[in-house]
Amino acid sequence: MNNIAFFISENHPYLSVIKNSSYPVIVIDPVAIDEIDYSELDEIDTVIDFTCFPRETKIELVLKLADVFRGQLFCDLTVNWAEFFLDEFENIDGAIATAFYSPNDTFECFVKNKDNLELIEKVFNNLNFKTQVIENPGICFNYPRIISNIINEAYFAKEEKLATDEDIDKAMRYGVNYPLGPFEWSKKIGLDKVALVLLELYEATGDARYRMSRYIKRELI
Amino acid sequence: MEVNKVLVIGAGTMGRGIAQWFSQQSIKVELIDNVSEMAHKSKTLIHDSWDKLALKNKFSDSQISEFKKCLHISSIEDHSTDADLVIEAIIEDKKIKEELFLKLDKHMKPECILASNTSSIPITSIARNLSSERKKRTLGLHFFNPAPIMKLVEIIKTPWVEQGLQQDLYSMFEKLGKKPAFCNDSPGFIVNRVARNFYGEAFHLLGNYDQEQIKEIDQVMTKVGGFRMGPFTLMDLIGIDVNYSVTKSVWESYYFEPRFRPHKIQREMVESGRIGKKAHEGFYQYE
Repeated sequence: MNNIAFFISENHPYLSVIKNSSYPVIVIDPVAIDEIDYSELDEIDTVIDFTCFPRETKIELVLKLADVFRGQLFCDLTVNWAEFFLDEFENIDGAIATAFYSPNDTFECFVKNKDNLELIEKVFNNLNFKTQVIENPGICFNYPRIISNIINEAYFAKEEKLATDEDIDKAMRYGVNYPLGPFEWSKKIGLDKVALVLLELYEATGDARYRMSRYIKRELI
Repeated sequence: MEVNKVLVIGAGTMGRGIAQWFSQQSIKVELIDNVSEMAHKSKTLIHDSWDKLALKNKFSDSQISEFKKCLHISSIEDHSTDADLVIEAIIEDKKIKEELFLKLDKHMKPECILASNTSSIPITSIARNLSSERKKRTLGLHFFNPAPIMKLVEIIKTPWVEQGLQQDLYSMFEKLGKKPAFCNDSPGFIVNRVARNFYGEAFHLLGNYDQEQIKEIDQVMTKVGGFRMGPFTLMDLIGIDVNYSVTKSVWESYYFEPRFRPHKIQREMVESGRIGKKAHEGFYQYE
């Protein structure tokens, strides 16, 4: 019997799905990581951490868990430098990327030990999610990274008054068959998550190509 | 504003598709090309396409017969001058386009609208030397391949074009089932600019050439992102050389803005002749 518990943050796009699941759920407050009652984990074998936190907060949570929890840990690293976390923290057994809305309810998943795939697939199945197993989580995985850059460019275009939001969405849907326009997509994902991905990419690479549009910053104030 | 006759200049893939679509709207189309055999070949291809669509019951025989009556081929020397709209879809060469538009300005009836289907040349530079009256009736109409199927038409404004005219064209396309979108005259317009990172970021994810990772990125973008094709499959289909050329053009037009920077893998693919499906080899192998 593998007892599983979920960690979740209030900013997760699938918060209600995860909260309403049959698994025990602990909502993590990013400013009170030390104040959580971790004794709730005494009977738990596996924690699936769905929290969506910037790097420093995530590190704080992972280090705390290294102290208080000896079971398996799978972390959502959608907005983080996943490769770094997986290499640096031995207590992380795998990484998932569920914090970005997927039109197909399918999410990237990486496990250090392939024997754990069945467990993740079973949990995802119970949440009506599908897994897409990957070998290269890199920085912010594949889909979150590409889509964030497309959304950022749409905001730069908006800054320059190239076209209206509606016309940009329409152009991408009907000119290149995107399932959603970039502005529609950013609403589904949450612009705060897009900003976290762009910031992490900029921090990790130092590359100016990840500079965020000031219109994204403005919308988040 | 009424468009009853369209002159399409350039019988390549885009010109052919545009001519086919307008004919399907029961609008008279005259298709011309610098190489007259090309125009005739395009007419045959369009007719073949309609015959296939009739077999698939997409159109009735009587509809196909009407479409065929709408499509005419003329020579570049003696095309008519009474079209309501001209759509230029020739080679992407600024000088050749400028010369063509100057001729059209002189010969076409005064109320005729001149439009370019260019994807990379500023409309303002094509229109700048035209008569002041013609400038008001010159703009970009950017269709997407295949033009009879893809719904988007980017309507590219210039500082001179009459607002009423661009609005009338918007209404006309909307009425005929297209999805028009207004945009300003800026490099790449909407799609070729906003879509750059679908390819560009895929290269940055890849870093160095890795066949397994190419497959992984393509699979993620279709299965997780819901895209019809992954970036590498799509580049193979478009042509890696074409994609590289658009990337460079947009990057240079934005004074080497890092967001549009091409990737060394693109250059390597082009230099080694692995330019996609048309060469039977790109990011994937083709029979």
